[in-house]
Amino acid sequence: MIKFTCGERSQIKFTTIFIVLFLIIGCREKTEPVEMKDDIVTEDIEIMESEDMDFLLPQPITLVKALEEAGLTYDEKNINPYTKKNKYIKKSSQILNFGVYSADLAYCIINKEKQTALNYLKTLREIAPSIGLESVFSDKELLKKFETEIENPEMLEELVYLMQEKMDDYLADNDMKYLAVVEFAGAWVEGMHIGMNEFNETTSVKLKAALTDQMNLVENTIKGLEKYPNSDELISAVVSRLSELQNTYNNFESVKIAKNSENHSSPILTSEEVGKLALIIKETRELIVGK
Amino acid sequence: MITLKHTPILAILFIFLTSGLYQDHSKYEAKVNTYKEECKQDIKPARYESSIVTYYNTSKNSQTKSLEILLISSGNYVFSVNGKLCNSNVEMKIYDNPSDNKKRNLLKTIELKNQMVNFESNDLNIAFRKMVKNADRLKKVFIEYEISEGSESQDAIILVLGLK
Repeated sequence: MIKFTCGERSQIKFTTIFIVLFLIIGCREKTEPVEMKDDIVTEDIEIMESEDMDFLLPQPITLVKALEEAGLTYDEKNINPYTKKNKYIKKSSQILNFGVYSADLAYCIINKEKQTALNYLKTLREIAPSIGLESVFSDKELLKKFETEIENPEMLEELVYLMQEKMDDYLADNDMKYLAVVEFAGAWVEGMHIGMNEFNETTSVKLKAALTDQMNLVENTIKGLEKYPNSDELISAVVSRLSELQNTYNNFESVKIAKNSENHSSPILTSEEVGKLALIIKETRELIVGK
Repeated sequence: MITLKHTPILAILFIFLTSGLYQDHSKYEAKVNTYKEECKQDIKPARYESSIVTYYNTSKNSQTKSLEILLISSGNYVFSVNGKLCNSNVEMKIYDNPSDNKKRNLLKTIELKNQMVNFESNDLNIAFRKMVKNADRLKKVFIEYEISEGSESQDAIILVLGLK
């Protein structure tokens, strides 16, 4: 048996306490996500391994632009009034509606509805602090530039792209990428709602194709929402509705045929099929924006 | 010779070295951001659309990381991919369909290690139309990074997507 002197024993005690304390603190930091003041969960900084299968989602403005390029026209009735912004109290509701308003902002800019666009930008700036994006929108220059360039729709579009790039960087730098998926879900539902409202017998083949192409985004949106760490009843309900939408769509005969084709052609939906999708999208939107 | 007397010093040294790891992490993230910025410059004059950093740990075994990218717009997408943080060989393969589709076509293959590369969806569409009769434009692409085995290290591939 090893015998220690009194001095050695106190050194062992000191070192053991020190190492045990260090390990306890270290392990706790590793396993428990840190709850931030604004309910944002940060990931363990030492884990740097991406998933084997990952995906990229487009910007809200790209979604709306793709529909506009296919012939979508402007109708103010289609957008969510910015006056409803104070109704959204829960964080999940605020993030989803941030996405809705982002799509509405893009829709107004693309259609040169300048003053309405300015109101939507101000709305986004007002919601941003509640969802941890204050620093992205704290730049007073952005609003000033927007006001200065109000008569220049191309520059306004450029500003929206810059704003989204800034937001993307901020979310990536702060381990908050999961927020982007929730925001995207709101924007996607709003874009589809706008598109579906314009859908009728005379809708061009191009617009029909653009709408069905956007259905390709549902699966990854659901995957992203399911990983959202602060999920609640609202997020679960949205996931459930989107899953129903996905299943309904996948079961259409035209979709099954298109999926088996190699040439990436868009399925041509019947009016009845479009009606079914439009109804689920309407209900999903009502969950998000309220009636 | 290291004796019991030195253990407190060793413990402090251990803590000091561990805190260094956190500093290394910040330095690594700074590098990632620098290379991401290079990609952003590389896609110009296209507008920034989105970006994704694929982190992985190079090991004794080869591995594959995949990305699904939806091309919603009919415009020309510009991809800039930075492999300067890859310590082993990485072959990037671009397909028109996911790996579970036996009929998928390989549209392009690029070596990534220690370099930044760019390509456009217009060129991918040309390749796609050569391979598939009556092909529409590509609505999505599937990127696979085939990472060779190598000495253990934390590595990353940065992809920035732009839209013209």
